[in-house]
Amino acid sequence: MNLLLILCSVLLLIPFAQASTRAVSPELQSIALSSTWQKLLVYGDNGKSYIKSDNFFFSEHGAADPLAELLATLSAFAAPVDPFNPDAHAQCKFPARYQWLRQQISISNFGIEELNCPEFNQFNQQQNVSSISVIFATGFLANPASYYGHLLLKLNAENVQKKHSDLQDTAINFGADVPSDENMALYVIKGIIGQYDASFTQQKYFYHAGNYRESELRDLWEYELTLKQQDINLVIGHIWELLDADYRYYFFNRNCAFHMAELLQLVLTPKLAESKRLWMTPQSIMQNLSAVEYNGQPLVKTITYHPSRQSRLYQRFSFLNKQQKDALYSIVSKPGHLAEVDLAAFEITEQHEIVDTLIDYFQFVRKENDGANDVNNTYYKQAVLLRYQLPPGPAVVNFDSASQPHLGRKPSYSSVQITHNSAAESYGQIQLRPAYYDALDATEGHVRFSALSMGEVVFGFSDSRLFLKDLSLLKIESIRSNLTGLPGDRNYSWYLDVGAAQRETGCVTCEAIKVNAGFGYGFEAASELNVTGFIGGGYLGETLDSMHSYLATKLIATWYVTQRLSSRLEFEQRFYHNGRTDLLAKFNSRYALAKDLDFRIAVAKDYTATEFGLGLGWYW
Amino acid sequence: MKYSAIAALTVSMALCASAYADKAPGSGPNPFSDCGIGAALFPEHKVLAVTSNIIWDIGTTAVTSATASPETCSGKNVDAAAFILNSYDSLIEETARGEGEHLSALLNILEVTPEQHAEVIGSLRTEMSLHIADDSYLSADKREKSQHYYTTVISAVTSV
Repeated sequence: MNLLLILCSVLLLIPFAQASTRAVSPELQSIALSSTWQKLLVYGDNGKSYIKSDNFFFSEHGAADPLAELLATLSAFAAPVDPFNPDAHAQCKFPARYQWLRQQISISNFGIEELNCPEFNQFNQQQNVSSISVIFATGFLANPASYYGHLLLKLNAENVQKKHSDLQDTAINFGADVPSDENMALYVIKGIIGQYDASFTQQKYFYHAGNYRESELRDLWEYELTLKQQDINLVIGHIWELLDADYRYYFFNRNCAFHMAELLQLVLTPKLAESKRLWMTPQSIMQNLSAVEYNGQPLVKTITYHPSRQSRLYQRFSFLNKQQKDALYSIVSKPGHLAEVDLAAFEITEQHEIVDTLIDYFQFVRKENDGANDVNNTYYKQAVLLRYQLPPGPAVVNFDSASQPHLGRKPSYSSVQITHNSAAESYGQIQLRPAYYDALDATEGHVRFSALSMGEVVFGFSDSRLFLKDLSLLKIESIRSNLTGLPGDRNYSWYLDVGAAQRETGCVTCEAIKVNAGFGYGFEAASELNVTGFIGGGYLGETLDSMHSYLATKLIATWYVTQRLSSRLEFEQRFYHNGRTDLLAKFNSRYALAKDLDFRIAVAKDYTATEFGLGLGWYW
Repeated sequence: MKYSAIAALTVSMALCASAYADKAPGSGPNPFSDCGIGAALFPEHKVLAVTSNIIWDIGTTAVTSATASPETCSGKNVDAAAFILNSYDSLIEETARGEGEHLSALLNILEVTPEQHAEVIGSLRTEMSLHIADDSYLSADKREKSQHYYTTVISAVTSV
């Protein structure tokens, strides 16, 4: 005890910078080395903090010296309080550190008196958090930062006597601080090489819910966690500390997924995010969350689906019976007569279902900012009015989806393949795709029939050579189906593929730069069968520094035959500027042997050769 | 601290709320016209929706505006106005249905008791059906529509 009192006195007198050089008690040394203390300082595995804000540390060495920061923190906690500004005191700025240290040591022995912190108390009371949810927003192919989905935390306030809605809860977001007028290409590059600061922010959940579900048409998945109230309080206190801290943002592996996981890691033992991974996806965090146990039970308590406007439209439509669908088609085919629609032949609930689908449909197809210039705005208004003219009644649809993100396979993929080429020797192939999916394995949490990969590389090898068969720095196929058959149901699709490839199927020494892009329309020709046609163009180098441009038409049919079996047939006709034309045909099929293991058949043919391959791949 | 993100939504709301804590919804100024909430809030939305993964401060901006003259704003009215601006389409659709999560959330923000919900919604539904049917409805922008909805719901709440 005396030792601690002496230490306390010394701490108050000696500058922070000298603290770590002093002899300190084994107890404090043990605390400084504890994982929780280092998590509170947001240390990585390299022993340095991810926080780059100086004001996050009391010691000038605090970003890398946990003992120095501990001693400096205790000293700051014991410092006199400004009665006119108690919120500026260390205890009020770092309530999680204070809360946790108070449980580890007798703080009064360090001259520390507990303070009242009005701002933090108010923050705490406003949230009144009884549980925490992790929100997964599905991927969004219109924004590079959202390709892989996004994570939020939702602080669920206690709902006493139904006086509170989830929409009123506070959401915690993590993202790069990007100027609003930043060029998109610059945004991607700077995000990848770490040129942005990033930070946690708080906002009411309804802003995010509206943005994701209504504007960007992204489904949200909510995973509520079974954290004890004591741990919830510690996380809330830590969030308060982090709201003032700046990080360095790296798109691939120091992104929202990683730092959200690190935040929750404060009260968890099993690792949610492996810091050495070169890429980190939100979906992999959801998978890890779902596998973690907490106090002997699953960490995830409940999973709730919050469908987007688009998903609601499709599900409402799918629940209509034939007569209702006929009525819907009839109305949509003559929308100018919406004001005179007569649905009296249907029961009231059936009328509700038809009109609710109409509302979602016109909401989906209209361009709101065009006002009266877009006639769909008029139709939307009339559809809403139709609902007002009916007796009030609920929208009785139980929205549901089997596409829970944690059920998906792991994000990275490798495969080996044996290939027979009619114009060249048979050879082996090794494929590496850091992330994320192709049309055949787009499942839970992905965009169906579409593809997204970055840095995907395929090498060929034989006894005599090793060669680059294909490299896609960025490959996106954004394919949509018109699931309702209604006019304007968004079925435009596009693709982009940038990298390098063998110029001809029959050549293994013809590496060429490739740039392909196109725009098209797709539709669901039958259940689980998408057919999409494209018009596009591209460059394919005759040599690495000599490019030839071409126009192209492409037809792709993708069929999810069963949950395990999927196939794709693709024809592409290229019209080169020098008058040459090439026809390329591809057939690929995939069978899922297990969740993280698959078998594939690949056939490719052009004017030079036919190639046939059998491959085995695994996800990791 | 970087309180532009935090304090605007917590401290300033506290200032407003404590100043007007004893006032009923509907009393005091209109947040749309007096707090600058509409102008500050709505124009940001669509632009920022494009870059969803970055920091955006819808609402914070508005509340910061409100903070400049806290005497003009009531906390729950500002909350309600911001909520209506962000959720307008969902609100008019749910008002037509007579129920929904956004409608319930709005009435909770305005501290309407569950027993009063049916009466408030009935009144709101009648008025909104007339408003939407009006020829001028389509030419109004989102802020104007939201302001009308706000005025209508406040009127419905104060009349029960």
